Amino acid sequence: MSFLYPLFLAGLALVGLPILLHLIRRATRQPVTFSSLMFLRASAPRFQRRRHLQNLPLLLLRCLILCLLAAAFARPFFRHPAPTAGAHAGDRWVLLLDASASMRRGDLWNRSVQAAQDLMANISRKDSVCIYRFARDSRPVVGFETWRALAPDQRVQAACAAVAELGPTWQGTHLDQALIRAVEVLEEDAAADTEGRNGTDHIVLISDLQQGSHLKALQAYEWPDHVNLRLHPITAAQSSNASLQWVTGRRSLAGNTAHDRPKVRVTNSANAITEQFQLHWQGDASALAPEATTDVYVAPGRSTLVSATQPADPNTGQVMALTGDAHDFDNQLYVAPAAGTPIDILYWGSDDPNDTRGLYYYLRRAYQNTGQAQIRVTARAGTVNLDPTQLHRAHLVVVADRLAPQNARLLRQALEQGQTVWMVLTSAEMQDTLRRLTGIPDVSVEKASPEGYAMLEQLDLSHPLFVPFAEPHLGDFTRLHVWSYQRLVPQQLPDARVLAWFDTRDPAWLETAVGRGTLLIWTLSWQTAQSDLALSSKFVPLLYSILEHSGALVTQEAQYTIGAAVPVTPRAAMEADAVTIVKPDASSIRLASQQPIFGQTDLPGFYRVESSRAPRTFAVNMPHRESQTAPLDPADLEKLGLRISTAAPQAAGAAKTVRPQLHRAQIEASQRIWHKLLFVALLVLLLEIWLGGWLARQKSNASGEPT
Amino acid sequence: MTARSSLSAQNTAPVTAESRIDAAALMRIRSLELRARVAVEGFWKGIHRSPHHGFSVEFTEYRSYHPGDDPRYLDWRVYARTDRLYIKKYEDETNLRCHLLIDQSRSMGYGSQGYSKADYASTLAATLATFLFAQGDAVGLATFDSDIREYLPPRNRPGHLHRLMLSLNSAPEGAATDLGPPLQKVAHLLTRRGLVVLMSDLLTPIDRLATHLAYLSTGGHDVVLLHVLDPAELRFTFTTPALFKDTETGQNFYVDPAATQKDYLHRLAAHLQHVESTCQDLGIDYHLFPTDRPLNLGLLDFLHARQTRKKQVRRARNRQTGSPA
Repeated sequence: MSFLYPLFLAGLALVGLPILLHLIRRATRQPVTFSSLMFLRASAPRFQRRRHLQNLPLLLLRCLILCLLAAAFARPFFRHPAPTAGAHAGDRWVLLLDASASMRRGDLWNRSVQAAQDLMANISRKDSVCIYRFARDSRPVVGFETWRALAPDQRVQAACAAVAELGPTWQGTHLDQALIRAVEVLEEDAAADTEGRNGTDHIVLISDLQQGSHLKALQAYEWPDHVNLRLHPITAAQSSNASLQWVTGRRSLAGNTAHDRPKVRVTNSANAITEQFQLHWQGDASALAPEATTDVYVAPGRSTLVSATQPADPNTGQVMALTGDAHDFDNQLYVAPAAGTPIDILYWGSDDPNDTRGLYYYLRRAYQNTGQAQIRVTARAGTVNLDPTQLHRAHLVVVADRLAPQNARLLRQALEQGQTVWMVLTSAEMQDTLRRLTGIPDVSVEKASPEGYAMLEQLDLSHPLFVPFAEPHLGDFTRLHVWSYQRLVPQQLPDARVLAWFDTRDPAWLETAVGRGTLLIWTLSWQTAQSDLALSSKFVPLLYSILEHSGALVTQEAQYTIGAAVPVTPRAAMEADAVTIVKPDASSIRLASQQPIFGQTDLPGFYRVESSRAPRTFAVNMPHRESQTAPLDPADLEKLGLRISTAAPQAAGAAKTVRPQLHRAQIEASQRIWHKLLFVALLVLLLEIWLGGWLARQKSNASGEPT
Repeated sequence: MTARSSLSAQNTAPVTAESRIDAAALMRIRSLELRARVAVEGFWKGIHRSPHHGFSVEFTEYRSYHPGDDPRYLDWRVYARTDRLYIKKYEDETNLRCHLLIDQSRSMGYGSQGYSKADYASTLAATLATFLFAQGDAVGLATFDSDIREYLPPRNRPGHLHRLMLSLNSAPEGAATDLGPPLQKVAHLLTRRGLVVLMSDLLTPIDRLATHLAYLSTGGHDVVLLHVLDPAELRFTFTTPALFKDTETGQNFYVDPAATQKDYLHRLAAHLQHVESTCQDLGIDYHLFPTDRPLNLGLLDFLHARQTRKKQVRRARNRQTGSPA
């Protein structure tokens, strides 16, 4: 048996103490109540020396308690059998290098690179090293296999060179994901290890350990016992910091009054020494004018909302700057005005725009400009030849008239390329247009006039078109009366999906795919002579639902944070309409036609979406949590169950002496004999208390002294 | 049977083991009333074993016949022997008025036997009261510490005994013992002569004890002092050195019994001697009651001593008047 801290065995000398106490009994100070002291005289307290030990079992128990405590503090352990000659005793190290935006402060990044290089220089040649750079995501810089593949004398040099090429990002600090990834890397390497390495696993975290780090995932993560986390905090000389945050939901930067203007939150760190800041629009010619600058007073640890002044050009992206702060990495806020998505709707019909009995009258009024969309409805007669570019620009085509063969052919091409066409059968004359668009020559359309009126039933509420009506109290279409409609035989359209039926068992709404496009067929129209749909509360939601279903109406924000996925193209984007995005550093990325999401938002600034259909600009800012630069208490990490060791790897010379100690500590930690010793000591203590009480009672009964 | 007849009857009552009631066992009875009844029954048992059971009339003295005296009381035997007419005189059979004065100072709360001196004194008083009450005598009660705490005038009404028991049941929570003020007040309260039984541990400076007791004895009262002490006080059986704390003054100091026991016993003996001599000087009956002594035995001793004393007084009086014995 060995002891981790053998010096504590000196505590065994304390065993003499109870023996001494048993020999020398001090006069008790316990008061005895007596009726009167008038016949008594005070005596001088005295010690009574005994020549013989009394209560030997009690003495032995007390000595045993002290022996157990001393042994427990000395942390005993049994040595494992020596490792086999062929085994490799090297440890595994994962270096996590924080490359979040907060590392841009001062010289933090250079110091962290230097720290990583110093650590690698001190690591034993037998050890294996893996280096990860982390921020929002974790990326390997040097893997275990790469490290082992290199010649031992070139490993450190190559790793240092790889680290030196890194730079800080603008991303947030997802420390939880990085730590979990590091553990996974260690476990994957251990699983793939066929050489039977029995070294220790270490994770070295080189970071500024800011409070804005994400830790949530660690709450549900059970940290493995065999992995030690070593913190290598890189602290800034001044951790106080002020930051900007765009808090308003307004889509425009214009505003005449303070109430109208967009709001900005200015936050000051708790340990700040500066309380006065200034806000202005960067690049504004009049920015330096006193009236263009807003003075902000924020007490340390507080935040305040500020109404921004109106920039010189509120219709373009602007940069708001904060001055007076020590760290300027988060003092710029990129703000883009949110313009509504331009949506072109081509209406093919011949009715008068002012005819309240027609379709266009209601369609034009239902499709109004909103904050999300700038809708333009263009009406064309079906027989007039159409410019193909106009058809190509349209996000939705509504066909309510019989089309000329040329137009039907163009529309069919557009359908095949991904266009969404909404065909409203207003008369049986549209039969040939339907045949041309569907490519099915035997489709027949005939007018139907049900007795009284027809109602809708069996709506396919699972279809996206009916999402607004999914709630039971909203999906009631029984008040919709249809006096006449066009009868279709659904069997003639084998690929069509019937979305709603009349109670006469005729289909009311159908959807069929043509090429890559979608053809919506309505056998009922909202002409007031045919139905009262135009006056129904379902009408406008249905129209916008069709617009959304077509992919034209996409919720597009103007403000994003680094790493956010930005929807940029409509679902039905056509091949010729590929989108190019110009990043703040002027580099451009061409998105594939079927790639609706842009995720390379890795730089703060303005991103320009160049598209013939929906050109726009959006702003990307640093995650606000990166501005919380106050240092994180390592105790918070320990509370999450992480095994933290603050000691860094020692220099190569010192490592030789310290490493056996670490090894012994790990063996001892795995055995934890001191737990058992303390438990036994507790049991003996209880036994001693019981025995002492019992002996005292016996003695009291024997002497018969008054109590 | 009157009190005096009982007192005379116990003269020859044998003290047997059967008649002893263990004080500790008696004290385990929670109800004071029941405790007193048990003690009195044991006491009766001791008395009734006397062959003089039923002797009822107390003869006191002879005097010369004067014309007009009731000839029924002429002692014809004396006339036959001496040829002189003597009237046989008997004691008045008036009811006794007994006053129980109980010390309830804090020192009376001390006890090493599982019960305190106050418990013992209360039981003693309750037993006496029950005994006297059963004979139709009036019993009163005064509890005191440094002053009178409660006073019940002597009565022999139904329910009075119960009230008396309730008063005796109160715990000793008083201050230090001081005999002067309470005895002085009691002397003023007692307008008619009677028997005064004082029960106390007398753990108080007794330099003025004679003065205090004289308040009662000079009033013509028949005073009996029952000195109640705990065996631990009498023998000082402590062995372990400890910090001793005075119950009355709160004073404490370290005492090594081995070193101080001898001195304690010596000083206590002097104290007891002083008390006894003072009582003797004042004609007061003094009885020491250790609390481990059976109650009925103590009472029998007490009654025996009283009877002996009465006879001595009577003989002395007869000697002074020249009456035949």
